[in-house]
Amino acid sequence: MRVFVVRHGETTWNVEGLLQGASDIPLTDRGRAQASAAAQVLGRVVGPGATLVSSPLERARRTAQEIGASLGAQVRVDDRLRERAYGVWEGITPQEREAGWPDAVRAWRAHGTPDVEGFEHHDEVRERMVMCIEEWAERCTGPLVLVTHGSAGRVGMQGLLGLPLEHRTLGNLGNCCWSRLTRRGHGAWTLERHNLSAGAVGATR
Amino acid sequence: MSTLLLWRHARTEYNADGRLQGSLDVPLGEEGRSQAAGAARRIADAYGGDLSIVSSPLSRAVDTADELASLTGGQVEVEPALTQRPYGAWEGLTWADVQARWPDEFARRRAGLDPDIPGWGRSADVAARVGSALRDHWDPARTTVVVSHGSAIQLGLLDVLGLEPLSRAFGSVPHAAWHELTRSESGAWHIVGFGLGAD
Repeated sequence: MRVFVVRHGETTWNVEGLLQGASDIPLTDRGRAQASAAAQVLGRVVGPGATLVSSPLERARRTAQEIGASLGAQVRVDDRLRERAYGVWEGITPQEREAGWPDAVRAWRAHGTPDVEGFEHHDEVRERMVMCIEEWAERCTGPLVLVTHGSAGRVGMQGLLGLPLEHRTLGNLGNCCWSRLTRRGHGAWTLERHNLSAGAVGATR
Repeated sequence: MSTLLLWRHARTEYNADGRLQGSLDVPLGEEGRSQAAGAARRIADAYGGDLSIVSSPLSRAVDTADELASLTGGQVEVEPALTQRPYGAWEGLTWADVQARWPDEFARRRAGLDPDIPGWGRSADVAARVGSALRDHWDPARTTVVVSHGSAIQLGLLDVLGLEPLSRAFGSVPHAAWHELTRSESGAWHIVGFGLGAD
């Protein structure tokens, strides 16, 4: 079966380069336009009978509503698709982060798991994302479309594919970009597309 | 950060008929040329005109690379190590022929394993050969486009990522689609995009 992992559209904090995590930040006008463009292409490529599940955060739900209208599917919400919590790093500038937590920033760059209050570590994110995706995949017969976030989406996909999390083998999805995976069986996944955007498909026809 | 693209050659008539090519040198033909030209335009638009272009020596790859070079005004460098995996005794046959004549080896192949047939290029050997060519052609200062083949690209990618050559983590992508990679100063490779240009 096919699973599409979609990242939400642009938000005001994306524009300012701030980590959002659990903070609930709305889409910009541009983010809404990205959602609408992605929804149109997904409406064509996903196929009939899709199940659509979103993170509870507004930026994802708003993106999912556009996709749902295009697919003719209702939006279900699963809390496990929420973004990784960045704790006290949410909403501060990269300069403030560097100045206040130089050691943690170095650890974050090296392996992604800094010791920062409220920062949700790789293993926790992987566990909830993989469990969530496997459960929904088990339950639905048609394609599955998940609307989630940059870090949670990447960690979830690397978890499904069995790729170690110390390396960013997959880069984060861009705003309203998506990946496609197929599931051969429980725990057996293959990546077929990564980081496709509405404007970039169809060059090989 | 610089970029390395892994671009699969466009469709040949053998591909359209479902025949295995491997080391066989099958030209693109008109339809393949037009598919390559469409993808080349997207690549030049997205990554700019200053590109190093390196190709497998087989004509279906060189013909694909030429479509991009004709847009950018660049030269195509031929790299023998980017050639396709040899399919040995299976070259020129369809999968239906293979299944009828070698049912057990066909089943091994379908399960992602190397079949035991004369002339087959083993996954580990092809991965090491292509991976090494990708490291050699990585240029931290300039975008490089590598034009190669379905299996060769997949195995070379697994090698640079440090994964097992028989891993099934990455699927096959349509002809003329490309992957976008980058490499950190640490030497670690990252997949920015996979199967780009395809639906």
